[in-house]
Amino acid sequence: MNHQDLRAMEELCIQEHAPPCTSHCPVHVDVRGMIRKITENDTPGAFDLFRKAAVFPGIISRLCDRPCESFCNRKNLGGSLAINALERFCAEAVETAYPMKAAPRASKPLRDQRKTIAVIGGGLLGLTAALVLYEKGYQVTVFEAEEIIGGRLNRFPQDRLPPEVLRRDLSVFDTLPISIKTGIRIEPSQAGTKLAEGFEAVILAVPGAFHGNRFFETSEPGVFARDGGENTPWSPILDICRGKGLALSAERYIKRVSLTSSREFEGPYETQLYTNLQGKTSKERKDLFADPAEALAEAQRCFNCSCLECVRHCVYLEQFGSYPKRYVREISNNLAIVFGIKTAKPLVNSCSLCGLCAEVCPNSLDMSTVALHARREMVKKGSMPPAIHDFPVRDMLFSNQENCLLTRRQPGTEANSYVFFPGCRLSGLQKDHVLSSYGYLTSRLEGGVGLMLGCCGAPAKWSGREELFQETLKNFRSRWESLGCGTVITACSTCKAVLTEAFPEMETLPLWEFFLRHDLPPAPEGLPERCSILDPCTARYDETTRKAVRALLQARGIAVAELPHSGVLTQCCGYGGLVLYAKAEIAGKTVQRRLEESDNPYVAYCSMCREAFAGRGKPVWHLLDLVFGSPGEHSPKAKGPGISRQQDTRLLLKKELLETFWEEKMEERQDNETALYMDPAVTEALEKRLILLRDVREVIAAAEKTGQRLKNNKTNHLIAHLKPGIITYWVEYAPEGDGYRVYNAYSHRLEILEDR
Amino acid sequence: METVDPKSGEGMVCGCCNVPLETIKVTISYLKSTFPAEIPGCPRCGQVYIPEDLALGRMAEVERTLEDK
Ligand code: SF4
Ligand code: SF4
Ligand SMILES: [Zn+2]
Repeated sequence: MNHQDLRAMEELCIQEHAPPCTSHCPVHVDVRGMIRKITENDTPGAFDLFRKAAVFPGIISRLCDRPCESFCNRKNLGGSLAINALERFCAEAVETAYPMKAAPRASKPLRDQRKTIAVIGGGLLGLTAALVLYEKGYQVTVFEAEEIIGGRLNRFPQDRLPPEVLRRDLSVFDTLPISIKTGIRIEPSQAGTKLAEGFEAVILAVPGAFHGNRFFETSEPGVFARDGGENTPWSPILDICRGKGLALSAERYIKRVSLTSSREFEGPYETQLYTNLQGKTSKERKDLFADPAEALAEAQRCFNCSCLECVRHCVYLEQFGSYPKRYVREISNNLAIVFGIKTAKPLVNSCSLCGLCAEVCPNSLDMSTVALHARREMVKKGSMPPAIHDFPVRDMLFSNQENCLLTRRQPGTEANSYVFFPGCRLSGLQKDHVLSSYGYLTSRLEGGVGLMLGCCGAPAKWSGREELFQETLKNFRSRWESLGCGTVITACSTCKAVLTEAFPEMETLPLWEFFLRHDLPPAPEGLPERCSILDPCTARYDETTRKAVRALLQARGIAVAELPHSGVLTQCCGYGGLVLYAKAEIAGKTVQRRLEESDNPYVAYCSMCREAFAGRGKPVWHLLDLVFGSPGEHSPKAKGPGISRQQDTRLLLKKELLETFWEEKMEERQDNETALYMDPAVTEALEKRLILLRDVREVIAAAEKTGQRLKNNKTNHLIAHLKPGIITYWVEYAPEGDGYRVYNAYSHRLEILEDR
Repeated sequence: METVDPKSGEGMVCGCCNVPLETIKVTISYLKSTFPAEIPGCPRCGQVYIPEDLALGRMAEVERTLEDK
């Protein structure tokens, strides 16, 4: 993915496109903004927005043929917004309260172009062109056949266009240095003569002069006229639009720049903005306002159209207060320069890489591809702070070291049609399920079921450490090949997704499938009657797995009520993308929202999901609890073992598997672990701070060996620190019996350069 | 790293040199940034002491700022 690809991704987000009212308004009044200001009781502000685009606010608020309204998203829900009536409401309010402020406003030109332009015709079209050209710094002369300017505007009945309103709108020409020559009739065919007289360009703005093309060019260079449309009724707003267009063409002609470039959004166009109207209810339109309250009520009917589909579904996208177009821009800008702007890194590291945004986005924009790409680039460039993902990556490396790994064919057979790969999470959290599952598989399946313990490498992938990820995959593959390949049976959707993506030729099947193909073990006691399913984000594109899970629950007689965020719309638990480590608040909020989606007990089929939701008051079962029962201490309401226990459990699992299935005794581990004693509060703090007992032991061992520690004379506690990797650990302890009592432990990432 | 409660090292002695801790000058480094700081430490051998509230408070804040940069 290069800078250009990122730009293209950015373009996919249509949130900044105009709502249909604005895109179909020939002059693109910011209708949404104007209406919002009305609802905020800022009528002058609303009027300013309107005037900015409409040029002659008094006239347009009275006469506009309002093409915008037929495209309003309210159309079939009580009728389009009464947009023009609201414009008129603003104009009238300002005319009454601040008559001085109601007139058109021309900004002073930034520079004098020293070029003259002739405008033939002093009606709405010509006057608009004249005003715009004045603002651009040209010297404009308007030639009008009648004795006064305004053309047909002068012939409207008073009740449609009150004379004082017309007068006020045209009064802008009383003071500006625009030369107005009335009583001079110039036939369209004579326009060219003005060029000869020294005008640099001529704008033909008289009725009947319709021979310009889309860019207002005529057969005569330098003469510009409006395009076709002689047979359509007169539209004042189209006159304003074309007046602006004529001015632009004349300017470009004089400056000798492209007449045609970037003009696709001139005039009315079809917007791409998507607005979800689901759940919106009808409300009657009103376009005659007895009092301001009625205008306000009408304004409040506006949907304030915008997309933000993804933002509505994703805590992460919501949390940063904007939307993907801005996010992608920020990230790609940040990648383009080495020292980036603040917030781009949190933006990159807080995405769970779950892909929900792509599912709900009308253009399938997938933030996860951008975030993952950025992580990889940052790692490559060395601008990714390694500490952020240090813990999960070290935990992965722990799972993949010799003590935990196991690669075996089924005992007593050389054949290897299957390989059971339970994954590191289930192995650490519920090892008994691994033992039961392997027992089940070997007794039901023909052709040999090998076993592989370890981690698939997802943490390395999510952290952007591509090299480590590839190496992990390579090791996985060679272990798998050493068994003689075979279908990989997974108990984790992440493993399955990672392996399927990396090795398309490797057949993978979810463990659940086998309980359906063969018999279900006898039902354990105390199963829930109904539940809702927590689909893991990595099962979003894995319908087979999702279906198997539902079939399994049905077979167990458990009724399923689907969560709003399930199936392809499922949300991540916060472990995905390692958000838990980069931005725990976002992970926590996502979990909280999903907990609130239903009162049912939840069933998870990913160990990480189960952990994320467990311990928060609601029973959260692991699917295997419903197959084999939840053994011993593992209650569906409680959280599983902590980080240190999980690592120990993985070691233990290997030992127990070898004993149970291969009747091998593992050598007793030499390093007789020093006993550590601590209060539950200390254990909890360690857990929260991601400090392993292993780390604590290491600190104490080093301190005891070197004598390098501090002593608190008041408490007699010893305090020592050690920086085994990139993190410095501190432990406050004291000898006790055969080991140590730990009073506290904490860590920091800043490095103290001690000069000893 | 200006604010370290001078009392935080009180009652603490260096386990190697058996002298009370004082405020000493150190250099702190993280993610390509370095800056000086004064923290409790052994005046003789330079062994430092980072109290818990410093590690989890001000230092964590600085870490986050540097990481987000
Ligand atoms: S509902 Fe409001 S923003 Fe949407 S199209 Fe209608 S006027 Fe425009
Ligand atoms: S869903 Fe999100 S990314 Fe897609 S267009 Fe809408 S705001 Fe942009
Ligand atoms: Zn000392």
